[in-house]
Amino acid sequence: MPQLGARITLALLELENIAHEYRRGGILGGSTANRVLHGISLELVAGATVALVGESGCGKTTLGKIVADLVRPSEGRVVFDGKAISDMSRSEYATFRRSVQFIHQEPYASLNPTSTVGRILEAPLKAHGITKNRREGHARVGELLETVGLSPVDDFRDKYPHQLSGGQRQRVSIARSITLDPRVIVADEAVSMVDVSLRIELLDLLLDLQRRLGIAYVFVSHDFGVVRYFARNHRTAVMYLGHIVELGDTDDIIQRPEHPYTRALLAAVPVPDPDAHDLARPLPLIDSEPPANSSAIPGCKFHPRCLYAVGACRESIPPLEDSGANPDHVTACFLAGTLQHAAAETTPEVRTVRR
Amino acid sequence: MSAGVSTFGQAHLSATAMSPNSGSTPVMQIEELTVRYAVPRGQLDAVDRVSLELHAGELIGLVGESGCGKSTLAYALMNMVPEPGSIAGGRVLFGAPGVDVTKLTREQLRRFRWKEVAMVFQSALNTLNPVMRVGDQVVDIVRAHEAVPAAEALDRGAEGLRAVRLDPNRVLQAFPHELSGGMKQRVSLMLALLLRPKLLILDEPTTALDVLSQRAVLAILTEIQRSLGLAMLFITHDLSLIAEISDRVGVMYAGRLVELGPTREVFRSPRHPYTKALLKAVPSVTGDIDAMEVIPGMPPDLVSPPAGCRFSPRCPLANERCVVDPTLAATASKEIDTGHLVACHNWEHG
Repeated sequence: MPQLGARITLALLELENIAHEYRRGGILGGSTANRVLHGISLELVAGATVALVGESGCGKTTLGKIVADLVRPSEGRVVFDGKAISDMSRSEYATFRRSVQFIHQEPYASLNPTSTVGRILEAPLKAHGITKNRREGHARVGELLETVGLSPVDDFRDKYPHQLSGGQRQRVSIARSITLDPRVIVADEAVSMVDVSLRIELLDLLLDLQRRLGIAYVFVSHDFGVVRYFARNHRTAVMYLGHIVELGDTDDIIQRPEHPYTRALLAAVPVPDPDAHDLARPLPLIDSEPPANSSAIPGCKFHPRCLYAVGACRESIPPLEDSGANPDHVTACFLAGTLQHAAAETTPEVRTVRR
Repeated sequence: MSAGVSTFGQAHLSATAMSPNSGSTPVMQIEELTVRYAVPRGQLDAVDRVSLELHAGELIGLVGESGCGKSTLAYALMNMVPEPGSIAGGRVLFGAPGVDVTKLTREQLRRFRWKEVAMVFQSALNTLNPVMRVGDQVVDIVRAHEAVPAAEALDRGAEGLRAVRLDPNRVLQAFPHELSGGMKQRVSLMLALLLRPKLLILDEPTTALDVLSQRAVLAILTEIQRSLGLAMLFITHDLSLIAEISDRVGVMYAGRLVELGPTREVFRSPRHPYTKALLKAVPSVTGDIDAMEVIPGMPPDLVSPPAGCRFSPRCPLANERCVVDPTLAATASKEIDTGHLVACHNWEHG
């Protein structure tokens, strides 16, 4: 387990001031840029987890892909083991590619439907020259299947993805992600498509791999409940429209959310308790739908929906800072400290703070 | 397996009669409904002898994992089970004289669907025509069933949009792609309610939505239920959603209804081992993480399901009786408290 205090010195992977734009149009000249990430800096400690949580369009998946270098950011640097990806030699980059793996949400889409499980797992071993011959490959595939709980292994080697259940397919994805002894796995909504009763089994498997193999995770999820389970004792970053708006220890974020967006989100998350929420009570925000043209919003991206927005929120982007309560819990909100006491209050009736 | 004399049918019927709203006539009465699919390897009962009553003013949640039959059941209630499936047994009685939906002709069904029972799907695009303005779709739907002027249909659409908290001036003119996901789903809801159906079926209506949009839709649904007093059947895999929105909840497993009861009671004192296990297996932002437990195994292959109780291979309480005794073979039938039914021999031992 990494020491909390040693976070900075042990960073295995650092994102430095990452920004990203997707460009569209442009066949006849003019193209428009859609900025999906802004000024993201984040550190991942060896063997630790950072969960990225937020709604669709917040940029969490793009950020995950940038970590695995599946997307090159428009600005900023990804530093792995002390070296920026862009400065890596060919062999350093090869090491990086082996060390950082990506698990997709839908294993059906990421596993070759015409390959057997055995061949799917053997391919990267061969390609990277890790196993020297078929016998070694066979043995290593057996170990991998065993590790992810697909046993007896010989029942699974010759199966095709479509012959497996959703949970089993995701186990194959996990097995493939660890074939090259990675140090970082980006898991993008890795259990969202899996049945409820099988979710914690898969999460437990990933946690077990973290304990045994020291893997660090970037865990991308829209589900705060899943994040709470998976990233307990670790870090969570809440994202909104391309910004990290809050970052801290997972439990602290859930127990003491500071950003008005995080608070609205947590107030909206359904819980398995019929008496927990009164649906008639409005959520603490102005509009349940995200704004149509988010890139045109000046200042804090959340201010048009924020019940508490003041002048400054419309003018400049609040920095990610601690509010004085806890140095490990940072929030991008000018009002973070002052809202703390209002955490448990009922939603203000005043809804006139319109844009 | 002793396939001989069984008191199951009788026991089950009397239990249904004792549902909490037994005073009022149900909007829909589902009796031992079975939906069968022919697949290359044989046949399977995706819905196996499910009985349930749906009452006006009540929102029933139906929860279960993928493949448990909850969506198939929903389609069967409108007699629109897709091929190669078909209704293989039981009845779906609608209204006071009790018209059996499974016996309706094609033309009768055309008039029945949307007018009497409407449905909202997971993807709003199942309902919305992407190349038509919302207003035109309103007119189309109303005039397919009633001879009214377009202006009147539009008035009704505008009223419906206000009920789902959308601005009619903007939305009636809009194409679906101009609306956010949450707004599209609210438009689907408005369209479903246009003809004032007596039953609204919602199949994972918020699953594709973000948390905040979802919450808005849930709030609107509760409002509508209060103001219109229609019966609602809300189908989802998400236990937490069901806890928040339903009055009664039915839990399905492998095609069968294994527990049915008032929501508060089912969540406070779940009786079926599957319900109990599910509640311990769902990560939530509240509750004790360390008490969470994995449910061993996986749901059965319905072509060759386990004998007796279909949960028995995964059940910590299972004994020989669960495998051989057919009385609990199907729908929740053991009434353990008023309106709280469970399909389990050993519910007291859990």
